[in-house]
Amino acid sequence: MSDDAPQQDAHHVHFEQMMAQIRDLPALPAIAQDLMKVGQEDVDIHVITRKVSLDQALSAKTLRFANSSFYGLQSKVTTIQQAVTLIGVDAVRHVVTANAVTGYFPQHDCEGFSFIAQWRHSIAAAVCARVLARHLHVNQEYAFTAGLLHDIGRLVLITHFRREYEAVIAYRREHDCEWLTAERAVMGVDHVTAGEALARHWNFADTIRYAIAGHHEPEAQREYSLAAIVHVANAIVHALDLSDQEDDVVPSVSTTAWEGLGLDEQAYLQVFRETELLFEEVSHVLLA
Amino acid sequence: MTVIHRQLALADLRPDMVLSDDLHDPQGQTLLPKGSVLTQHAIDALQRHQVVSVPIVVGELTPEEIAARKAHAEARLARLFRLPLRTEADHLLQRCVRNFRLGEEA
Repeated sequence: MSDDAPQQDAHHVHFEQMMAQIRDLPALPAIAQDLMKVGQEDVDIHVITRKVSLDQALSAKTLRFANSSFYGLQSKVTTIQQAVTLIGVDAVRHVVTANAVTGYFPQHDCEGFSFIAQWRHSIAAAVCARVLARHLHVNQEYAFTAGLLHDIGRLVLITHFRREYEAVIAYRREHDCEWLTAERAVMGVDHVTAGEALARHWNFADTIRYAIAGHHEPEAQREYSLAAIVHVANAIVHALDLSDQEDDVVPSVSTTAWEGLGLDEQAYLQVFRETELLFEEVSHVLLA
Repeated sequence: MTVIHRQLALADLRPDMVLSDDLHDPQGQTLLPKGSVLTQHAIDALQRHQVVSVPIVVGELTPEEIAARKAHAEARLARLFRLPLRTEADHLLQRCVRNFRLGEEA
């Protein structure tokens, strides 16, 4: 670290500074922690059912979600217990996770950054990752959660290093580059490292953490497939223009990841259609 | 690409409306094919399948309107894909999304 660093380094954030902020974040509420332990055998469904039932807002959202066409159930779900029985603990998990995490990052305005657009993007990626997972016959609910959380590091940076992130926004506007490039150039840390650190701090399941860590460079991950799915889903939803941001830009896609999924063009067209249809509905429920 | 379609809520559906796209359930099964003419019976069935909204034909486009829409979609795609395409997968994604937005003939 030299003292005569160029003036641009005014917005540099040291890795340790970032980690200190993340370590200071309070733990997730117990119920969210329980649900984030993805291995379902660890989850005491009865306890969760009871806890969610006691929280009116969570219950209402969970029921709306369970009854949306996302799950396409034939009969109407009216209790949390039914929801858990019919669609598993996953609908509950999605709602509790989305709720808990949004609660940690209050939406204060920041010039050039829209929290709503960021959540729209995350939900779109979650829906698309889930659709891809179904086509690939892998676990759809992990894919949804990983998609929902893949950019969580950006919320850490923007909430705790706001002035620095405003410089990132300005840099990106000026250079018209990917966010990751702008973050690395201005702050020296990026939303991928921040996301991975937060996932560790909050004890997310390893699979989810690897996917967050690998959503830009999936080849580097030990658990490759979920990272590859989130990586491709992220690029797809940028390309489908779902976050509704004029200056949105499609990030580069790893050919190894794309080929690893092994889907042909017909399959992708189907994935695009399904993603667009489900997206509006899910975002209505989760952003409400 | 010659019809204007709108995503209509279930409550706004009426018999004789025409589907502008295939309608799938969340498992990807086709419930009704593109071009289907709705009947009251079909609308009731959609309700039972918990369908929330349906893509419906609301008018025909003139050739000028078709051209204008294509130009708009082209311009938006060019904007979204404005960074240099670096990998083979970048090209594949762009081609798929183009075909999705503009139809195969594009």
